[in-house]
Amino acid sequence: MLEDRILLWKFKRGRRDAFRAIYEKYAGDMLTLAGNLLDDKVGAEDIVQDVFIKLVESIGTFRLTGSLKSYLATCVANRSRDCIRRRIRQRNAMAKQAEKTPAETKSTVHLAICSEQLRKLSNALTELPYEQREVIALYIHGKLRFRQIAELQNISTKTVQSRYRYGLDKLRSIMNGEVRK
Amino acid sequence: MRPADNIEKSIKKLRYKTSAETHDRVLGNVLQAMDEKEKQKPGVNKPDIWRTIMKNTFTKIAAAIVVIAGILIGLHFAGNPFVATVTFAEVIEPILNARTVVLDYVIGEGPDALEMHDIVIGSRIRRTMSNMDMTMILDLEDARMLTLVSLGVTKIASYNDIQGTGLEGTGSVLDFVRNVVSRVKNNPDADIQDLGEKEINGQKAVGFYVKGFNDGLTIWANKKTSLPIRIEITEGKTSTVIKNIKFDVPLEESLVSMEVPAGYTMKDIAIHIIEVPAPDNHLSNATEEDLVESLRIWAEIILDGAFPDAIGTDHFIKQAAPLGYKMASLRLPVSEGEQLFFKFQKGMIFLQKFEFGGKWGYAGKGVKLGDAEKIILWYQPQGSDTYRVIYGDLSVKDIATEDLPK
Repeated sequence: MLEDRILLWKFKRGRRDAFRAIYEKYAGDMLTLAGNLLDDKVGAEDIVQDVFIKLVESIGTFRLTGSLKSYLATCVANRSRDCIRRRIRQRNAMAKQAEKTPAETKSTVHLAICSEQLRKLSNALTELPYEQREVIALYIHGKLRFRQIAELQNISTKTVQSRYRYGLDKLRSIMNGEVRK
Repeated sequence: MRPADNIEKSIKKLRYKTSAETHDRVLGNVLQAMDEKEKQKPGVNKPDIWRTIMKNTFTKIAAAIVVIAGILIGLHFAGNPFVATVTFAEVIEPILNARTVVLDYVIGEGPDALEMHDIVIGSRIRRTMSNMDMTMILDLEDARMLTLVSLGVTKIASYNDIQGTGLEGTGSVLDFVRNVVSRVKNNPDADIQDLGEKEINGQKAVGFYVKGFNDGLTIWANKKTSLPIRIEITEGKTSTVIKNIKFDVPLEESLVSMEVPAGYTMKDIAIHIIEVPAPDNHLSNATEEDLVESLRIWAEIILDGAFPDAIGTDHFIKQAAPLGYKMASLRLPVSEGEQLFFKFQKGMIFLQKFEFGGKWGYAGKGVKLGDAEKIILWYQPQGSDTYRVIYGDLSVKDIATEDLPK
């Protein structure tokens, strides 16, 4: 935490190397978080870029109250949710044309899946309701606490915990179903 | 074990990665955005010190500097016998008896020296500092301090108690000088050296030097009036100069009023007095580890990864303000900031053990934190044949005298 604050302080003083250090420290985690939220490799890349650009633009007034990683994860989650909503609106507006999921588009970003089992898990995640997927991704990849996720989603901590538990149960169910096939 | 049994561990493995080209492209886009933003503003975005100062860490440090400066000055000037002479008695008379004194005193040397301006009226002092837009009114009898800070149109006042060692330290450099010359005056065996004459700021001055164990006090007085015009205090490598001294000038009592001036808003700001251990046992708690931690803070936080060009009490004191500034800028929680400052200070206390009379050396100039090859500091513990040396990576070893840096 102190290291991040020092980096931010240097960054505020115009040190590009400090920003580069921040980016290199967290870009990978944020990409994984966005990727798991969206199941959209290109979209994930765009969101991570947008989040860091936003950090650059607001650095003059930026005040870190918690950890930098939590802050970035929250930004990624917010933008991912906006992205999902935008897609739903587009899909509704263009009902006749099924939305082609960006996950199928060719991208230079790759899900680092080394086994068939993980590929199935990744697909299973996309079957979860977005609220559950968001809780799981933020908790596991964003390292946010349930309380922080509750604040982000504007719901109670118990509801977050329930969503997490239900999400994992459903994943287990899907995965076990896959295994039994 | 079925794969779903370890579902959380499996989800953790769902990592996305990007090619180096994509990584560079995204980073490049962000850096480009940074460039565009910088073009839109005249200069580098620097934190507004006066916006942060009242976030309270910095304010605390500001007060602490005053306290520490006083404490350190008084710490080692133990009473060695001095001899009085008539001429010397004339010189010290206004020091001892003036009701009002105006003086500037500078701790350390060079452009970064800490300069304070004191207006002393009886037991009250109005103090301002060269690098802080802050005024402190000290009531030494009631052990209270009124701090006045102007933040543009906003003016803030706060009251704080100053007690214990804090009060001692805040007791002003003038009190310290008074204590020393009182001992000289009352000790027929004291030795006073006549330094002869020299010109100071266009005035012919006569000088006297009195020596303690590891310290010395030099007083230069106007040859015609006998009034002191410059007082120099040396403690080891720390020097303090009192100058621009005026005695018994007519001063408005309102200058040291403890009433909050009109236009100021009262705020409850906790001024933290760093409690330096009493002179008799001030080194008992400080260890080599504290010194190492102090050096780490200095290099890592204050100087962005480099060790300072020189260290010593005066250098430590000068770093108090930059450290406070850094801590405020980093927006460390108050408790964390206090701990950091205390650790920094404790290392200095340990160093003083050697600084004032021991064998030690420093060679950290130009050395980067983490350099395991270069020795940055060495000292000889009492009774030891070897030296303890601290390297740039802050590791510590024992080495023989002949292996010390030349």
